[in-house]
Amino acid sequence: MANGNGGTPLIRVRDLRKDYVDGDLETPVLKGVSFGIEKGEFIAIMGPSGSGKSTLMHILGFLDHATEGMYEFDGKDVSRQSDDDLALMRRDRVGFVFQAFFLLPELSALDNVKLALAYHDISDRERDARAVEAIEAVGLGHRKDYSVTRISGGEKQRVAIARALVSKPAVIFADEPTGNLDSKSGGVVMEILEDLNEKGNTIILVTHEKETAEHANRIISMRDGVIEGDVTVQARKSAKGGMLNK
Amino acid sequence: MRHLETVRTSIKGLMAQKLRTLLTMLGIIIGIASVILMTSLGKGVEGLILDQLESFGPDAVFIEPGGGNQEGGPPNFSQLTALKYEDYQAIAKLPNVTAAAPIKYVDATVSRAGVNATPQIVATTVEYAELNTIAVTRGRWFDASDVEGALRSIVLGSSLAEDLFGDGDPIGQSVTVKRKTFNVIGVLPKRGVQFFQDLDKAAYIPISTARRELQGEDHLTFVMVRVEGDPDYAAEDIRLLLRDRHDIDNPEGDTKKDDFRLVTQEQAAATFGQVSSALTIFLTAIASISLFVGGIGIMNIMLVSVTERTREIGLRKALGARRRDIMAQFLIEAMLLTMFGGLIGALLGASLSWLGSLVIANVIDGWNFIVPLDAVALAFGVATAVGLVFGLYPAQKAAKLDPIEALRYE
Repeated sequence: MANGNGGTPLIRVRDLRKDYVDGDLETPVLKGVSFGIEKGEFIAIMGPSGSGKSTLMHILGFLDHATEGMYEFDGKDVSRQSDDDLALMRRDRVGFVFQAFFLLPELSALDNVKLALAYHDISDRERDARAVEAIEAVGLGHRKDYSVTRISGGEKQRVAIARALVSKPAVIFADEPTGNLDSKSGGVVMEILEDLNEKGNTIILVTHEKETAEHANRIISMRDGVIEGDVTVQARKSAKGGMLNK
Repeated sequence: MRHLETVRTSIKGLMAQKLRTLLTMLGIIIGIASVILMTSLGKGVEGLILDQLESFGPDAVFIEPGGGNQEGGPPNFSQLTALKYEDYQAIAKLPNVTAAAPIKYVDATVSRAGVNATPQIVATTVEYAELNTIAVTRGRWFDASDVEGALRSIVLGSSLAEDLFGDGDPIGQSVTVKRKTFNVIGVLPKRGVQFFQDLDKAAYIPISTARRELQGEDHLTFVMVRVEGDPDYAAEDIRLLLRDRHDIDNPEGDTKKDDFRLVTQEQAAATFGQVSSALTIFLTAIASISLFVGGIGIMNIMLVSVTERTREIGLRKALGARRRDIMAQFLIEAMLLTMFGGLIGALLGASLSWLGSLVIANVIDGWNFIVPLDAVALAFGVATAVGLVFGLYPAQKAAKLDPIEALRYE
């Protein structure tokens, strides 16, 4: 269960279902998923490929619609939103970190971060200031004018985290953020995510690796479209403190 | 503003692939450049011809043989001999005609000491010089005795005189026309090109001489007159006179039944205006085909661009771009391509027109370099519209992409 503190949960889903239709073939990917997430949690959604974890993240992250079921975000029912409304939710309420970084190679690190503010009606000055703040928050202030083709993989993912952070979202989704990184760079990325969580950011991590999932303080395990386990970890494995608990 | 950021991003993207951007714009550049070039040359020709028409004065009337549909149809070929010397004589006696000159073109070789030339030989009268405001500076123009006596006197155009006599003085020398010896009495100053005829290559002889010595037939190529009072009114007098002389029963005044046509200077200008605007429309239509082809080029490259940037589109959607934001991005990019192409095309077209006018001005006096600003504005507008129209489909395709599919695209 959610380690609630009595208030309204940030995210609440009940009996969420998703079917993929391909011609006559209807494949259920989510077969009724229910849970809640509080503000400030660091959650790992774990499971093998095909378990439905990515689909769940897409729905929670407003990239996709559920076929059936209820989704409440910040007390508001968002199950039946229009595409434009979903786009606004993505813009204002969530940030994404992807396995493959998805940085635009022709832009500098800072401009990649600014891209997340491209669809906000704010001044250039504010856009600049917030992007600089975000890139400094991931410790890459000294790399901000570098082309992203000239920085390391770990640095690329940190730029991507800054990009997810810059719009001050309610939730940051990280989809296999260490999947393309060596263990050292992956460790740094996880450390940054933990750090952000400690500063109050809600983080939802999607991974198939148990090692990575253990950085979270709650692990939702999925298999074949249903939740198999939902465990709150009291003393999580910290990247900073080494192996505190196993 | 958000779209300003989009414009900036698009420019960066286009600048990153300069060669491809240039090649993409090439169709538009060529299309716009040819529109500008065509309209500029068209306006140049129009200005030149209207100037020439005006030089005859508003009181000039031309009488040509051949009836037919006079609202723009060709003259009747069987009637091309309808205008006779006697018609000219009768026209000249009309009260509102102050001066009249018959003009007959004769084809013959003019030679002198083994040098041959085939100029346009204009057989006419004393009045021709007055009607065309020709002032002879070397020698003299015909006088009454040349015409009345049908003397073998000839006046040469300036470059014809050069061809035949080189640097020598032709006055008082003789030339041979159809084995008959003519006496050169004058050389005209440079007159330039009129209605695409090089007047300096022409030779002039009295029409009486032509009738007696060169060609028996007495029909005329045209008659040029200067009238008093309202030119339309005077033209009507000439029309009635000729109908009477040619036994044309035409009480209803249907000009299609006539075997001649009358053109006042004003009508000529109006007719020419119609011809030149028809020509401009025709040339512009051809140029629009190249704009259309250019537009297809833009669409093609935009479709390639949408495919190449599928992941970028997915990312932008994940960052909160709505369909219309993606749509705007690709439309702005297509329009930037065509607008910039239009700008380069307009500059190129204007430069080519300018270069062309330098060359033409060497050959034709009175040629003016004109780049019609309305054509530039129109071309620019059309270029932008091409971007909008041909960018629409790729932009829609981009906007419709599903963000998850787009992010998965390899």
